[in-house]
Amino acid sequence: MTLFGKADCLQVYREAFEQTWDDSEVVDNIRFVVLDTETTGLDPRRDRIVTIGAVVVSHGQIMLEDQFEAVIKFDYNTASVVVHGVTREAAQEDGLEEPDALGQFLGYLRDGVIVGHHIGFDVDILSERCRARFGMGLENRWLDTMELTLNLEDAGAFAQDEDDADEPKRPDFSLDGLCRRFNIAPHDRHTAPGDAFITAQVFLKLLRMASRHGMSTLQDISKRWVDPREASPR
Amino acid sequence: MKTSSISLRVADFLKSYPPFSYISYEDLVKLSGSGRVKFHEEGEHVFDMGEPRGRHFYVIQQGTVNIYGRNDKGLDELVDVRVEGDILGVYWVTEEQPYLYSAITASDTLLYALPFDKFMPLISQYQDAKRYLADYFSGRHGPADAVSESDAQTGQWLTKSGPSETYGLSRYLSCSPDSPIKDVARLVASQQHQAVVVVDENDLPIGIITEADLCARVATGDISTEAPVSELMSSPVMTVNSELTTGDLLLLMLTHGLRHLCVTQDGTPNSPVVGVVAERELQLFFGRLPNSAGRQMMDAPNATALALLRDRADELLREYLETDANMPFLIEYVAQVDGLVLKRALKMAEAELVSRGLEKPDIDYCWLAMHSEGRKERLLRSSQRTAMVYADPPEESARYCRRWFLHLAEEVTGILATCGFPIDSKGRVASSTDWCQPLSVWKANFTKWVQDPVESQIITLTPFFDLRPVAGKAQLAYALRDHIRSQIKANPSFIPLLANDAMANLPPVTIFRDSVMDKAGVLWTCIDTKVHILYPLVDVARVYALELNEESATNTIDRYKRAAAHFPESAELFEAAAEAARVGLAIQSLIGHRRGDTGQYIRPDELDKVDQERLKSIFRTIVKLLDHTAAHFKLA
Repeated sequence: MTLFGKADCLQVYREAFEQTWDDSEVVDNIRFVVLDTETTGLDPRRDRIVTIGAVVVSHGQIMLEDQFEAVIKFDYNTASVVVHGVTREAAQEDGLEEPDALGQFLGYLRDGVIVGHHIGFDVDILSERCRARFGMGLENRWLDTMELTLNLEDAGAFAQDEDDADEPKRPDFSLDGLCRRFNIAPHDRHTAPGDAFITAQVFLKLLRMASRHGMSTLQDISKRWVDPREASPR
Repeated sequence: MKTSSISLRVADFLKSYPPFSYISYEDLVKLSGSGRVKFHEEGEHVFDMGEPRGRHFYVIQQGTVNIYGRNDKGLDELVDVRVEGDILGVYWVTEEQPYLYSAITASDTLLYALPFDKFMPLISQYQDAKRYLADYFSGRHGPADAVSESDAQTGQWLTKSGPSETYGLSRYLSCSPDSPIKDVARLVASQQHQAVVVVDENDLPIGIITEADLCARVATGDISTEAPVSELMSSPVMTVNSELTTGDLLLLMLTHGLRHLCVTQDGTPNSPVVGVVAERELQLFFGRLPNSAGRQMMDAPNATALALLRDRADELLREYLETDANMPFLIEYVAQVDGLVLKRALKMAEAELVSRGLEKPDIDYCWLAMHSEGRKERLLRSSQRTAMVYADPPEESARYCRRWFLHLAEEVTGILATCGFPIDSKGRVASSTDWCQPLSVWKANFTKWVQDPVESQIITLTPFFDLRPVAGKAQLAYALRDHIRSQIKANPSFIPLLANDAMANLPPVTIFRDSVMDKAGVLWTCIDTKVHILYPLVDVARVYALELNEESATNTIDRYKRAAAHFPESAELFEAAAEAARVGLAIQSLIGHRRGDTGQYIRPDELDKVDQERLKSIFRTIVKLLDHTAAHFKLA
């Protein structure tokens, strides 16, 4: 719990949106919050958040002094324990009550642009839990590194360094695949802070590629990706 | 906020690389938490020469960064290649100042940026980290205090403890010279001591009696138990002062084959006794010691036995090397051991010749060590490079003398070969006719070499200027040195020519991952410790020693120390060169002993990051030394 309590965190969060980023904002100035959650399952309405890990990217750098991490107490173990490794007992010991954790998180997040790989689910479950606890969902803009990657691919960013041209298949754009492509050591996968940190490193590289391909504003990089086959039906 | 899992990951990375490896994990996590991560694509400038330094320095997490400096002609040239775990843009004791180099990425690169204002206070708390950075910048900004600190620490026990501190000097036994032997024997039997110092009425030492003497001469009935100890004692006594280090004491015992040294107030026999240092006490404190092997060498019945003892000395040497014992001690240790081997070999050889019916001529001679052994830098058993000088015999016996000394040298060379010292492939040993000569011929040789160095191909002869007497009449060697000095004085063009030749070998520019990069940018797989490090250091040191009339210093480290004393304004550079020689020799010897070869070629991946950095700083020192030498001798 911060000095000012939950209510202040929520106030800080709300006030942050009074003046926030618009589409034309230059990428460099934006406070991106790269985040990952580990949860008890894949249903945003029924499952619970176990851990949140986040770190800020701004001016093309990961700001290690601006990171967040919380473990939340939850009621029962599910099969997902084998993925993230946080047991109910461990969470009871080190964890915060959910309202406290979410309050602190919102105070940290403020109006940061949320970034993550397949981030939609994380945004959904965070929104769902905030709505349940505070009666309000997330208002943040967000961008999915997966979609950014696909957009960059469509822009031809990956074409030139594709070595095996005789095997023309869609490259592996999973987080593990991107780590391999960008030579990022994927250690600590499947802990929220670990995945957030790895995603942040991937995001730094994607931002450089984006700027080389003329994407310089928030709108440019947060464009939803549309499968060309769906966009222009035969 | 007590959230720090991401900082832990950064700290985990830093922990593997110096100087961070010397910092506690807790402090690394804190440092990491104040840092940033930056990404650069290939060919981007991380910073440029002359640009003001920012708040951060960098650690490469992934990728390669080329460092460019500006040469004398104002052109940018590649001076280093930095890879994972290397640091970029750190300043050390200098005031904060603009970047001295440009850093340009050679591949996609991830950097950790860490703030100076958190890093500097941290470093000052960790001596090892501080020393690492001092080494890292040595020759350029290495602070004097950090260097001496490191000497004190690596010296370990061999330099730490003087007899006054460690060995309870107040408890020693003494007696007067007219005490009956039986009384003294009772004294020895009732106490934990093996020796009794015989003192006069003023407590000055006049002799020493040991258990061994009592066994050998009293118990056998040679001397009566009623006789005064003065008949039994060994006299005079070897005395030392209480300031000597354990290493000094060991070497004295080794050289003189003694088990006890008498400590007096001023170290001479003319001041009162304050105690006795016994080999057994040193052994209790420090475990394995070379001394008994040394004594056995002098009693070795044949070459095979001598060879086995020499092997044992190497085992001990390797132990010392692995524990980072200080180099001046090791240099002396090996020189003493090989001196003993040689002396024993000479005795055996003489006996062999006499048994063949040859008669030993009454002519002084001196056995000379040349090359690395002459410099006391042969810590690995490499080829013999020896010479014999003998006093000019009367004309009528000249042929016989020559025959005797050649035979003698041949025998000795054979025994040394049995002891694991191969015979030089070009026959540059005392047993070959060229290298076994009377003093007048040796003088004539040096005259010719100094007067006409080009014609004599001096570059192949320079190691003969590292001559050192090992056995026999040292005065012969000194006479030869005097002659060399006067010839050099008479031929002022000799030294600059020698200096010019000393520029022949250059160190590489840098090492990284598994590559060594030379001045031309060509990559090699190995560091050549001889050509890249030792040759330039040895050759330059020799030139200064000869120029400064310091021919009695044949050891490279010693030569640089003396040069530092002659040129106070360049003392820092010469001290750095002495240190470079020490480290170069240590690395070559250690790797050589580990692998059982000459240690000449070392792959960068055989070295840890600390030693890699040490070598890189040695390369920089050598380049500076060569530049300085070229200017000093006004070479074009």
